[in-house]
Amino acid sequence: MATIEFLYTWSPFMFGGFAWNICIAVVATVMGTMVGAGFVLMRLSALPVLVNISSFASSFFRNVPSLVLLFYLATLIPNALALAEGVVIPIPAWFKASIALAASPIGFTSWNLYSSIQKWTHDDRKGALLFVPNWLSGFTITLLASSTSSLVGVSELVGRSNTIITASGADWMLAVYAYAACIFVTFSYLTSLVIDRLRTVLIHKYT
Amino acid sequence: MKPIAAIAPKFSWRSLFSGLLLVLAFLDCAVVVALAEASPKPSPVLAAIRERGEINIGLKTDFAPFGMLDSKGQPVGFEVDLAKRIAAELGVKLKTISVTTENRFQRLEQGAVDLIIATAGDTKERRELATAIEPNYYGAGVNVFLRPEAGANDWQGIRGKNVCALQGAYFNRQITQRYILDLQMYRSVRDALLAVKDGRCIGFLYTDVAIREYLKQPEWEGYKMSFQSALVIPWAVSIHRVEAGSSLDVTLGDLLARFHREGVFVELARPWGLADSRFLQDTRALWNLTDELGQDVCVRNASGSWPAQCRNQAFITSSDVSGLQGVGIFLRDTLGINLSVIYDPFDRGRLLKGIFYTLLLCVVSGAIALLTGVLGAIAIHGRASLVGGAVRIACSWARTTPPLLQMYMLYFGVGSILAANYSVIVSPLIVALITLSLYHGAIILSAVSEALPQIEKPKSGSRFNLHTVRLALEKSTVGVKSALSNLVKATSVASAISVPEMLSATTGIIADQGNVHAMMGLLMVTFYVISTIWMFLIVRGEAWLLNRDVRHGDH
Repeated sequence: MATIEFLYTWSPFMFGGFAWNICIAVVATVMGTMVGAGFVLMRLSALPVLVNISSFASSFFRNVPSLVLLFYLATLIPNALALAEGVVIPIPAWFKASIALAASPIGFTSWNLYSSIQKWTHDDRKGALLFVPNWLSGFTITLLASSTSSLVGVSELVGRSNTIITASGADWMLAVYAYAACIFVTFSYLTSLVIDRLRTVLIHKYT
Repeated sequence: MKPIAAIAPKFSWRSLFSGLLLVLAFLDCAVVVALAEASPKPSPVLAAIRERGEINIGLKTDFAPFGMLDSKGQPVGFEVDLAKRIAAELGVKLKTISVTTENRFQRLEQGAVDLIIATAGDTKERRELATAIEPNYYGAGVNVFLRPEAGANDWQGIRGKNVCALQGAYFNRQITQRYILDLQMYRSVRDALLAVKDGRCIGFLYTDVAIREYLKQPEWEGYKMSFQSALVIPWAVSIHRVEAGSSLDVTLGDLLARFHREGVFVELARPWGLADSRFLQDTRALWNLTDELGQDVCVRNASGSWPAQCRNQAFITSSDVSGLQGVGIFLRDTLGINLSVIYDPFDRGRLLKGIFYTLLLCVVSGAIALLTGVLGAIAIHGRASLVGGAVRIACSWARTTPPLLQMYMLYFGVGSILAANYSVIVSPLIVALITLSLYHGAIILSAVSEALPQIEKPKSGSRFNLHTVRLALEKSTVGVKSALSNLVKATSVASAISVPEMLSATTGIIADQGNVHAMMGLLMVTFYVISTIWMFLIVRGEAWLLNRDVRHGDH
């Protein structure tokens, strides 16, 4: 009972943390998709320089761990940008994390969007549109990876779990971690239902 | 099958450089809207206090001389006197509510107390849970309550020794890492003191203020505190985290500042034997500083915060210096690249060890993940539906819980239970191997188990033999390959639980040398190369499997 009361008390705090996970994952996926699409455009262009840059960048972002980028960007990007006298734009840690975590969607989009476009031009609608459910699974993976941003000081779900444990004692550790895991598992499960439904609809429509 | 060149294009330094430029270019595009805060926002808590005519203050009752119970059961102590003084200054009645180390922040979060004055050290983690009022009202460090026969005179003297400690104390981990102690964790101060008395450890790692109290008692004759206090951390009065910058925050801050200036703290501390506190003396002097025009130095600036020199110094250095260092590092690295691993054998050793551990994690957990995936898929589609169901649940759990969280759960959660109850110390490497194997095994399992039902049942024998499994692997080759290629990247997460793999080796070198760009660049290139070789091996493995299959089919 004490455990339930304890977890209940901290639920708003933990869900607030999870909202950051979703925020980071959404921003990372949106940015990553746009940059990845940019690479695809470069690859579709006839200029060999652009094609080379695109294919290198694509493989770079697929082979470098986002955690390494996360650590690097945390030091590389300043905490605030001074645009002009008196105009200082703060760059919060979560945004740096989003940029680092965009690596995986960049890699995914630049790799898969290209083949989807090719399939579409060959009238393989089903194959082309399967990009969407796969892209959504990629989002789920980015969401799980966003937990690593706690290592650079972002107060997301895993970070907040550690905060609660540090402040309240190790007795609550497994309960807090298990609760955090439940939140991730439930969200991923709900997303997977959407993905499966989408996949089924696409396959039925184009078969 | 695609040749390896399609997966990893030809490597060249020029293309690496252009890639890095690209990264920088898209970072520059990052723009965020500034959020400026001006005058204090209204405080619902302060409004409620004024309306009730009463303030609820959470106080400790087990920490003499700060908060304890007198013979009539009434709370007394330095913090209790401070609470009374704050209530009087606000012109409201005081209602004291007893809190403990475990529940103080919980009570604050619940709104059961308006503020806590409960010996809470002002640490980074706690600033996420609550708003710390600046200035701080006291400061305490960490020391060891040593048994009479212990001969050590400094922290180095107890290196590797068994020391009793309190579970959940904020300083345990840092002190352990800094002085390499072997901590025996106890659930309460009472238990830890009993253990010290029984001689189960050479001393008790705790705050110096508490130890000073024990030393006064005849029960502990001969015991001593002979080290210099470490990790001196100021204590803060805390209010609810959403009250940051509110009128309650400002009112209390102004009040505590005045208490420092006017010597109220020293006066309150005197009856409890704390007036000689170095922290209180220094802080009083600081808040009475004036500039050359005779103006007070410690006054709130336009944004409502105190000037940096009047704030918790430890706090400022920990967050601000890294930024300054970052700038310094950036300037130095624009002049030259400091690849210390090339000329420094120690750094080179660290990096090579890191590469070894990363490769070890890849190879061992890759193999176990493949095995887990295949066996799990067989279990799911096998005859025993109960086992299949259990595997299915375990698989979706392992696949959708972040590996970092899994590692924390196993290493700190389960690890501490094993250590406490069975004296089994779980190695971080084992935990990392288990987690990486399970996570990627679960991904492989899903891929294989999607493919398995598509395979025709053989006319004779079991549906699941080496042959059908091989066919299933062949059908799920894309999913399996992507899981295995992901594994290389995921190994870096193991740095979170102190596995000395490449990322932690690199950050260690950077911490000593400050060569962020050179080392991070090298790290990315190394990952790129390892990934490429790894994928090459996987593709070869796949080819080998398919060829075997062809030979198998020939017979």
